[in-house]
Amino acid sequence: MNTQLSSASSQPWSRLPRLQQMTSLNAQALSGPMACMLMIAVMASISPGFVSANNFGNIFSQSSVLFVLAIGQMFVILIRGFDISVGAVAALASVVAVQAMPHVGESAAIMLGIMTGLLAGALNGYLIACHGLQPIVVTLGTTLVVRGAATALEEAADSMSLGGDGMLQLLGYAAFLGLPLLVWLAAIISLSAWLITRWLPFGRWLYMVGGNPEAARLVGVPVRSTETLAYALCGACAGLAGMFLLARSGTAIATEGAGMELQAIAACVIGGIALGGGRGSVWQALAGALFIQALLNGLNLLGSSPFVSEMVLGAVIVSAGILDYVVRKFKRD
Amino acid sequence: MHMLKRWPASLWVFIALFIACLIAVPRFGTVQNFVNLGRMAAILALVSIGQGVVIMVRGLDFSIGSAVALFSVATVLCAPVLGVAPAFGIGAVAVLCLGMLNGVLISYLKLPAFLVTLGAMIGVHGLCSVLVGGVPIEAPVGIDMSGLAHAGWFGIPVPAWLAAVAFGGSYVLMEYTSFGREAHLIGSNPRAAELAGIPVPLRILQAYVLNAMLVAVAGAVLTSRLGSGQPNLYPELPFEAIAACAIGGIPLTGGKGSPLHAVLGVCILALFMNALVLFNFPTYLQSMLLGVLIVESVLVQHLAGRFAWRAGSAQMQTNT
Amino acid sequence: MKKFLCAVWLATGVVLPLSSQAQQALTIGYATPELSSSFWISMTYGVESEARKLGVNLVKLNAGGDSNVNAQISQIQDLIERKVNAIIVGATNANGVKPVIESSIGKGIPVIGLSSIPNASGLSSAISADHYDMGRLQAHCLGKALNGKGAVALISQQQGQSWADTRRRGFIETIQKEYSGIRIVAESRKQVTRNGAINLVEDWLQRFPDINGIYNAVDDTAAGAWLAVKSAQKEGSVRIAASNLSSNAQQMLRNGELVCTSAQQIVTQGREALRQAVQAAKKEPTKPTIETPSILVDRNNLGALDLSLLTAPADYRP
Repeated sequence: MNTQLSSASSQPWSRLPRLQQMTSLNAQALSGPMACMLMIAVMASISPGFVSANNFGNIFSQSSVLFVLAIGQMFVILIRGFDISVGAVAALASVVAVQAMPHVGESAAIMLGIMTGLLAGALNGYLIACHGLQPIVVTLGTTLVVRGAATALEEAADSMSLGGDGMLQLLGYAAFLGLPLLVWLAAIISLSAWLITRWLPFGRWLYMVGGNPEAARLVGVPVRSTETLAYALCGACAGLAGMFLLARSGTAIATEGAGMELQAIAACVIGGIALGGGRGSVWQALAGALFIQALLNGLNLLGSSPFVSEMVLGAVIVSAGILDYVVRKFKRD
Repeated sequence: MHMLKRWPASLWVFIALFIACLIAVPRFGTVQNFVNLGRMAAILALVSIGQGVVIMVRGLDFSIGSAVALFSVATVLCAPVLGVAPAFGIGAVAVLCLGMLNGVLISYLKLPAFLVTLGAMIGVHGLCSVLVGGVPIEAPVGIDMSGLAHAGWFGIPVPAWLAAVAFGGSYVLMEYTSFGREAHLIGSNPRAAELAGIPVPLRILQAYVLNAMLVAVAGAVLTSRLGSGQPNLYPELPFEAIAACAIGGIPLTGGKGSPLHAVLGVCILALFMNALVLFNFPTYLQSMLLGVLIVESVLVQHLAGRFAWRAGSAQMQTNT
Repeated sequence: MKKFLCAVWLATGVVLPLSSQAQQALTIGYATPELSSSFWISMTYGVESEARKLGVNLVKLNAGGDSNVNAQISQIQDLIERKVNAIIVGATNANGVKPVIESSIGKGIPVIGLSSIPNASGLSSAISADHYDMGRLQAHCLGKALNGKGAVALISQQQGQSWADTRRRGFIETIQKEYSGIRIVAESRKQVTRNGAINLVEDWLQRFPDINGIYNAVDDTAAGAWLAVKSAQKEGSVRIAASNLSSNAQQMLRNGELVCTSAQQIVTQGREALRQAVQAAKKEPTKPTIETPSILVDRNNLGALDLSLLTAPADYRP
């Protein structure tokens, strides 16, 4: 990081003090993985069949959708926003892809699905960044519009299923070197996201805009473009998540994904990415997503009364925050 | 021009929308429709005022949908044993306890409001489902709870009066008392508020408790209206409340706004939803139009705000 | 201390396998799409009471809503992981769970379809509900109650959920074919709660004062519709019909608030599903399809019905 900054010493932002959030591994940043490990330990002791290579493979493959959504959410949380339209966008992307497939072939249809997500995100970004509207309102509005569009497209369609044996269906259930293919893909996406935040100037801009937008503007960071691009990336991740959903179920469902946006934001917060913006990284989002998925998986394996499971889910989500509190207190004492 | 700047932009949006509805929406301008609208808006107004107070101190409350469900379940379960009025009291106590729990976790333990209220939303829904076994539980035959929802004074339903009182009380609280001033400061600059000696955690807790009181009143109205304890009473309530606050002009970053903004947002939202049903559009189109209209109303407010600023600064220039 | 720990390790090493040997009871997995309607609660009651009677363990998982296909896929995967002896599936989406169910069958765990039948080949048995018939029966009932003339509004529930779409199709096609004097003037195709139904019907009565019939995909919205009709003082002119038979629907029938409701022997279906699952788990032959007919329940025949076949007891908690 040092060499990166000094070689760019002619750039204005190198004169800013080195941003601590990007590189230091303080205790607060570790609370996400700690919560994750605690969850795994608890589940291992109470849920039958939790501790097995196959089950861990299941958890990873099931969480691939949440991983991708959480990474997308990370981009916008870094700049002090959040996007509650990602569930609806994922559903729309899958509907668009399935409908386009007979006409343009599988790969092009997948690209089209991801583009749909990108466009929806860019629209969010434009309204939020260039007009200064509140993220909650804009993304709420987008959710309604996108859901309506997805339902309308579904009504007009003949079939919402992937026909035959395509690449996507292979993706959903095949494995490579023991790990499900979806996990490999999610890993590649995570790596790309990590590279974006660490090595590209855009990544540095994200942290600067989130940490102090005024200061960032003063040193020449293109704040509006950064914010718009962050939302566009979040939308693209939602489109990708839609493709993963399609891979798992083989059918596009216009109403799918409701509630996933809150899970994705919760994953980021549990992982330690504060909603105030300016701090956080990809592996924190992943730790949080893994936490939630391990929790859901453990509760499924326990198979207790479905309503009691729901109560436990709620209590654990609240408790995840308590771990962060304990870490903070420990740091102070 | 000076007069124009004093009133929130959402008021002009509401007036313009109202006139547009009178002209364009079929069968909008009848007394019965306004009564229906008022009843629906009253419930939303109660919870939006509370949500506005919480948002002002940089908080958020997703659990209000499950809270009203808890009220209905607790009340209907207790009514056969304790009688109607004490049962409503139990429901209110349950909601207040939930609000206090949320408040303590958020203000004193400084947990993220998003997580706490999301967890509360899920957990309390599970609790309600456990208590009634998943299906709505009806008030036993012979116990009539509908008094609250259907009574009226001078032709206006009681829920609307309750909303008006809540609005008046909270407006005075937020604009004219020290609590209100401190809440504004906590929302806009928590560090400064701490340094100024304001007991920040206590004020935030009080904000959540105030929210819980308003949610309890809304829960009472809903339970009275339905006469049934339902785990899925009103799941969209938190999103409608947050949307109303944002449409009315309360930024989610905290520190700005007043109950007037929340109520105006409720009026605009309720008007939209009423107009959409009266237009009889297909459901997916109603959903899309609602989304478009929500975004447009904040866009218009934003542009109107910039226009007013420019007009004001132009006037200042001509004056000097 | 070390010796003590060694003893504990040894003891667990011996006891655990012994205890697993002792547990030879079957474990059946049960994946239900949602548990917030009397339909699926009664279905679950049927499955659970039969499981208790036959002495099998039942692992109940709830996807939380018909649109949560991804969650249900994860739940079925987890049931496979838990190596249950058979799985009963009420599908969130018939096509959506097809890949995971075929994977389960491939791994040797038989799958029974219940009510919402997965679109997979190789199901050991399919106990189906005829949703089309439930809509059709409502149409006949409302058509007769309105004397073949009038305007109806539909609270059809979420578009895209197959049971809702099928019931609606049954209703609309029957009305169009046999009661052509009845117009359909308004429809809502999103998820509507009882409270939402009050506001919806109030607005509809405002816009279309000549509405004299309301179709409800579930009985919960019928209660809301009734409250709206009562507050608009149109109890005499608006007839309400529904599907599903919760205890509230029964009360509404007795009070004359609900004209009729179409119902199925849901508890019977649940019991049958578990029986077939046990057969399949024991590798014994199963019946490929089981259908129970829909019934139209009104005030007159309510007393004569054996409600234990149709609905769960009021104190049942899944």
